[in-house]
Amino acid sequence: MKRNILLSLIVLGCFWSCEKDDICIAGDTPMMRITFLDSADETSKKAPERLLVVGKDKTTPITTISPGSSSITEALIPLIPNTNQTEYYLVTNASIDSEGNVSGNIDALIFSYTPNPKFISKACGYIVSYENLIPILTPDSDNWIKKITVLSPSISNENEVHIEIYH
Amino acid sequence: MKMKYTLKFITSLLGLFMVLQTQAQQKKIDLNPKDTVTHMESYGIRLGMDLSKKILGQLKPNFEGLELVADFRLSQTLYLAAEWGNEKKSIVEDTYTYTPDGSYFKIGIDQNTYDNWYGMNNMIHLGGRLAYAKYSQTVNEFAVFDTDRYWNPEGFGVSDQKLPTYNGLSALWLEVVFGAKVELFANIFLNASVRGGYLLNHDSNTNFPNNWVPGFNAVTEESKFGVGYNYSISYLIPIFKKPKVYKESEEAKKKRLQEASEEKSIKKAQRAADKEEKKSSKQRL
Repeated sequence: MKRNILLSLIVLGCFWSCEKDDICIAGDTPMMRITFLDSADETSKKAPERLLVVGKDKTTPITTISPGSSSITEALIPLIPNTNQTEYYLVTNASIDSEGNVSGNIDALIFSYTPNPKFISKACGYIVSYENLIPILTPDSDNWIKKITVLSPSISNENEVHIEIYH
Repeated sequence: MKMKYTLKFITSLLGLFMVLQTQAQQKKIDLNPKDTVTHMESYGIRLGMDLSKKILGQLKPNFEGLELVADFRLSQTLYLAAEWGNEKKSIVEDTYTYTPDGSYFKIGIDQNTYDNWYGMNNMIHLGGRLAYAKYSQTVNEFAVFDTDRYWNPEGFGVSDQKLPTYNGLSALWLEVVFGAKVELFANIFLNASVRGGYLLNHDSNTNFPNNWVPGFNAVTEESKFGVGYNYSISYLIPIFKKPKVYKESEEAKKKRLQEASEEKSIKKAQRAADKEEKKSSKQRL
């Protein structure tokens, strides 16, 4: 009897198994890749002069583009994964004064999309890919962006180009 | 001539002794007569409810559960046992919360390994179950995992999307049960058991894993094992009575075997004597 109890305790002990560490390495929400092209010669890349990209209601420019750089022809831009729209200000000839005000040619660009949640693992939870990507340029008196084309309306891989901006 | 008579005398004397001896054996006095008083034991259906799930439901707002237990006594030590239950649990993970909700049914056998004293009706049992659960999973809320911190500097943004409920999920598993049942008052039992489960099959939804199955509890990634327990109180509805079969004690067994071997040796001797007698009578002829 005693041996029986001992044996069953050992067997029960085997059922407890350790949980894996909760560190997510299996995936990540992709960013949107844009390229800047020459509106006069649509096959050649052209970097905007002193470019600054800042999100709406944000006080700091995005970190994937070094602010004020004149050599950017391709960049990754993060979208808001938990809503269905992201608004950016793309500024050329940008300058920031001592009070932090941005001046230059400001174009407002709205990206609307449908986030598509995908479960990755217990540690990661959900990531999203984006579907039905539509860029909307807010018209003003002096748009430096001349044309926007969507190369890929779904964003699941940030290595391919999704949006082309002609200027 | 003289020689022949002597031989005849000896063999017949030997034969007489043998006969006398066997007669003496047949008249042996039994000093340990068997107890003829039988103890009747109740057989019937035992019905009960899990108390731990009810109490847990009162204490924790994220859990709701009910389990009914039943068993039917088949023989001296074997019981047909079943459980039916309903569970709903909200589980919080780092970036999402979800609620599995469903019911399960378990059926199997319990074997009592405890030898009760006169009048006692307790159990220490080992058993097995085949279990099936049907349930749904709802993701209540989720935040999107994103390593970029520009838009959500403090952690992950909680999505405003509602995910559909995954309905019609099912799981099948085997359980090893180890437990005890103690009779508190006449026909009222307090039961406790620990269970080890082995998952045979479960629907793996492509968009959400089965991390918790009602009745089975937590499902660990890359493992088929699970643990459960139950604490219940039950009432025995007696249907019929049967005499208790007492187990032979070690001593009694030894004695019985010894007696049997003695009897055997006597019979053997008798047979040998018979043979001898036949031989000698043949010689006489």
